[in-house]
Amino acid sequence: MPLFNTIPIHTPESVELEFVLAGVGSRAVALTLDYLCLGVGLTGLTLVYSFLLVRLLAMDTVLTIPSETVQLWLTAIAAVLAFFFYIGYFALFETWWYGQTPGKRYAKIRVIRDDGQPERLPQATLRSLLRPIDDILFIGFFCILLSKSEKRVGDWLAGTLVVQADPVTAGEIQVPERSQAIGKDLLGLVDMARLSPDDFATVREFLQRRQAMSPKAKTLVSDQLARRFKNQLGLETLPTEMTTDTFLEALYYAYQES
Amino acid sequence: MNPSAQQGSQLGPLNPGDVVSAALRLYKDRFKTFLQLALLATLWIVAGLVGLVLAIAILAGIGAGVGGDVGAVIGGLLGLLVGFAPLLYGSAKYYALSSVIGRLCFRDLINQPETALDARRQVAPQLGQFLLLGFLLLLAYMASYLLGTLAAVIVGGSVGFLTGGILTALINQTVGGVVGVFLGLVLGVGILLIALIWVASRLFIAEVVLAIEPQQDAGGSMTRSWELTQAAIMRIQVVFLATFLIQLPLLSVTNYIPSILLELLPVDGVVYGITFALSLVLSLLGSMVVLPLWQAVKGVLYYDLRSRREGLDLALRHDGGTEL
Repeated sequence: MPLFNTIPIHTPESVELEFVLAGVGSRAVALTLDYLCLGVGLTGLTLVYSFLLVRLLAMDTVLTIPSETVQLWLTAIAAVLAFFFYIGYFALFETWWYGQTPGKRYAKIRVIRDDGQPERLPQATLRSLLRPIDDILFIGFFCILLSKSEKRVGDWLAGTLVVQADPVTAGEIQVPERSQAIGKDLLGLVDMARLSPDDFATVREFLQRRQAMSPKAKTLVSDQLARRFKNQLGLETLPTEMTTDTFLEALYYAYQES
Repeated sequence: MNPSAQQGSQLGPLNPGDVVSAALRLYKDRFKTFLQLALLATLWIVAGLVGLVLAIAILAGIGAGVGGDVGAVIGGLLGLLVGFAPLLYGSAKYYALSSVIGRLCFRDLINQPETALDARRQVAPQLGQFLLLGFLLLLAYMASYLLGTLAAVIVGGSVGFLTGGILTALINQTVGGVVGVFLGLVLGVGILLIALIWVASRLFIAEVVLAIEPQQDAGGSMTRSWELTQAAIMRIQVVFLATFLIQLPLLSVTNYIPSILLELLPVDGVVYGITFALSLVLSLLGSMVVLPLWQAVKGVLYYDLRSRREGLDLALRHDGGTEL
């Protein structure tokens, strides 16, 4: 992906890995969603706090402690809880989910250490503690935007990187039996080596993504791809009557088998 | 224009965050071109506004000379009518020029980059359609606002009233009243907001469709935008929020903080006048700088939706087809 910055990482085993950096956009998405989650959580905490406060103050006469002390204690506890909630949300999620929070999971990014290892509790905590500093005057935003490795202050100090998570391959493609049979026929008819791995990838992606396409466009693309590959394989006539989708499924099956 | 783009490679559908990152990157790569277009667009809309004000001032002046106070009022009204022409022309120009940015981004993504001049030449004959599109969008927003308000009043009102009535019977009138009003208000505002956001998202990319697709007219662009965004409402919200967050550092300095400061100043006096003028210029500058970002986002989003819904990237992958 040329539009996105990449970073090479030398692992201790002296293997060089290349990671695609998360990008400002994905990090903004993750931050927005995480802050929305946090906002909901903190609102809940505030509601519980005010409910408790009202209740305890109403019991003023029962308790022997003066109401001001109760108020102070409760406020202090709520503040500490809110702080831990804020820090803990990021630190714990990132530790448990190997560098991901709910927002990062949605944005398909994760935090790793500078050497490519997964992030652990110390890094996650450091990042989380420095988050308020990065938020002040958008310091973190400018650091991400201007630094080559897209690090905010928390990332510099914790020695972490935020990269794109490995794309989870979209579900298995189910090839119907009829298409499989046609695929077997095709293997006997043509040399599948005429299809390049790129061609195969195109067929696979089409089959994976066709559900999300509009019916009209799906027919159009299916037709176009089928025609192109039919010519490329030098197929004069097709073994049987079939739809273009079936032909592509058969190709997919045959290529895998060959 | 994009040095690292390889011929034949296609990005395909993008994550919401990547839509924003890609848009920012394209803006960075062609910063001067995009900013120039944004400057031109902004100047056109300012020129339109100045034209309106001038028309009113001149005709009111003439009216005052001919028929005193009554003449001035009539002249002013006439000026408003006449001044509408430059304003409309200016806004059509603004709209067309800013959409050119979206078009350039899209062309970059499909590896068929254009120069700004070429793109402007392609878009120029559509000026009337851009004006029409602006008008149609305004109508659509007004209609959704009216319908949303109606639904909000009916649903929010009835639910609030019912809850209030039940709670009044069960507990007492104060609790019933407060909870009823609160629930009705929250529900009503929620319905109205959702209706507006929904319509705005469905029509979000209409102007880049008009700028990109050949032989497209205003109505067709709206239909296309409606159809492409069908399954993408949530994704568009996320893209919108992320873009908003990214422009925040700039806009808070140029637009938001000055307008808050302005609220704090006493309304009379020279100081207020100067501050007002300064903040106006500043906010205009801020909006000008973020305009390309939003247009780039729309261009990238158009590419993303075309790939997702219509397999554009698959169709272009090998033969680099010219049809759009």
